[in-house]
Formats: sequence, C-alpha cells, structure tokens
Amino acid sequence: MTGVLPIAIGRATRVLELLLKGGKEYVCIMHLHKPVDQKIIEKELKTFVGKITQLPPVRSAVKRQKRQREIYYLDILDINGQDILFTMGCQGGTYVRKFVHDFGKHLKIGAHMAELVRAKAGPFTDKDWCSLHDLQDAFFLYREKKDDSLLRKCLRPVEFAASHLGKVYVSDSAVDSLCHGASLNLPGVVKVTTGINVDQLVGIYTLKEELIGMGVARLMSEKMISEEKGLAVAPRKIFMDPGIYPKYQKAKPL
Amino acid sequence: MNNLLPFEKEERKILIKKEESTNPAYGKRPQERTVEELLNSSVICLNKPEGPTSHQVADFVKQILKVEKVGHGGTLVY
Repeated sequence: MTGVLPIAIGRATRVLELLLKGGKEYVCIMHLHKPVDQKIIEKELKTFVGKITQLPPVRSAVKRQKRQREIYYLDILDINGQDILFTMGCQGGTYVRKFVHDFGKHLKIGAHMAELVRAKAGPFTDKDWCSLHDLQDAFFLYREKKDDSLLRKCLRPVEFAASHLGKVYVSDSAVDSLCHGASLNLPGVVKVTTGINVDQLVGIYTLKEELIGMGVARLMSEKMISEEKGLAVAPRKIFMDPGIYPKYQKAKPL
Repeated sequence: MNNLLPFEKEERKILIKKEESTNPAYGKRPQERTVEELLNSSVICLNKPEGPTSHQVADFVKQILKVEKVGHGGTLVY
C-alpha cells in the first residue's frame, strides 16, 4: 500500500496524534468476485455513504468490537470488468479492506481490496507531498551547496499538522502559564476562528501563529467572544516549552 | 471530481475579542524558523513507496536527514 504518510521529526512527533481523528481519503481498487451491472454497483455504493458499522479485522490495533464510522463520500472513477476504481472520504479509523469485504457481502457475490492508496490524511494530501528521493536531493543540496530552498518545501512547520482544527489565539501574557499546564480562561483569549463547537478539539496559538498546544473547547466560537469569564479551552497536550514567553505578573493591587 | 472532507468545507473566519499585539522579543513566526530549527521539529507530507512498511519508511527518513527521532502517523495497512 502506498500514498500519503504523515511524518514528524524530532520534537514534532507528538503532534501526529492530532491527525488520528482527522478525515482520510483513499483511492481503492475493489475486485468483485462475479460480474455485476454497473448501474447496480453505483446505486448500492451510494447506500454506504453516511454512518456505517464495522467490526475491526482480526489483525488490528484496536479492540474487536463493532464501531460506527462515517463515510463522507464514495465515487466511482473507473470500472474495468470486475475491477472498480473508486475514491472514498471517511472518518479516521475506517477499515477500507473491511469496507470492501462488507460491500461484496451486501451484493451477495463477495469482493476484496486489490489496491489502496491514501490520498489525504487530515491536511496532508497527495497534492503537495514529497518522495524519499525528493527528500534525499533536498538534504544533499542543503548540506553540500548550502541551498535550503528544496528542503524548506519538504519540512513544514509543526503548525501544518493542526491546520484542520479550529484555532484559539491567546495573549503573550497567557502563553507561559499554558506551557506550564494551566487551563485557558476567557481573559487570555484574543481571537478565535469561526465554527468551533463545544467539546471539539482545537489548536491553541500565540499571536505569532505558533502552536502552543491542543485542547478541548468548552464554548463555541461566538460565546468565546461574547462571554467575559470562565473556561475557554481545557488543554489536552502542550507542545511549546515553558520559558519562551515571559511569566505573567499580576498587577499589584492599588 | 473534487470531493472535500468535512474540515476542508469549513470556511474559517477570524472573530476578534480584543485588539492586542505581540511582543517581537518573544517567540518566532513559523515561517521565520531556520532549517536547523525545522530539523528539530517539523512534519513531512511523504509519498510512501510500495514495498517497505511505514515503520521502515520512517527509518529511511531518519537516515536521510540524520535526525534522531522520526514518527509516522497511522500505519498504511487498512
């Protein structure tokens, strides 16, 4: 299997967790065990868009119990006899091999996955990927010719891995206490992106667009703006080191 | 065909709570980081070749960039 593989270097490895829940897109070849009319395949495939229930395969990293996953879209790209080339957008943790098997059962003829390519993993897509060879060439150019232009195209700031989430920006004075594990309360919030809902994972940023960490929103975007006091985001994971921003000094009472 | 995942459809606008600036003496904008800094902390959108496992590919990246720690997101075995 090939396709988009998000890689993290050094201190960034911890952010990969942010991608687990991000959506995925796959391009897959499904081999049907008997010929089926094209119209039937198209019609039946459409019925799998939305919520589906899957039993994880025997060899899998998770507990083997039925779980629900959402299929966002399914589109046939090409049909060649019993081979169906299709694209599928789905929630993280959807087993494509299992999906194909279940679809074959649904058609009562059987099917298996012949090939699979991942096209998207959260914000990581096949539109802007680099190969191992690109990376090798880029590193050579940087090491031997002191030219970092290619390497800069391959190495993305850690913030890229969180770019699919909503953002909450905080005051300089709130940064250091967040790095020490404090909660983010409303007085520390400066701006937010629209579309944040309660209990959603969000990125917490400095005003310089640096990722401080991630947490769970306790208010929706509009409430974060209108309310004055209380918890805005419960931090889950902090990526920034303490000591980069100054310690906040409370104003002395008069 | 241009299908979009739920987060790709979302048009995120910025809502401002208060006007505030940031002191340039602290921190650094992501695009201003040096390559040395990126080699300490960054992500790569890699096109995984056929054959080696995700784990082996992460090891190749380690050797190419001569860095100590490399992780990969989600084994491609589904």
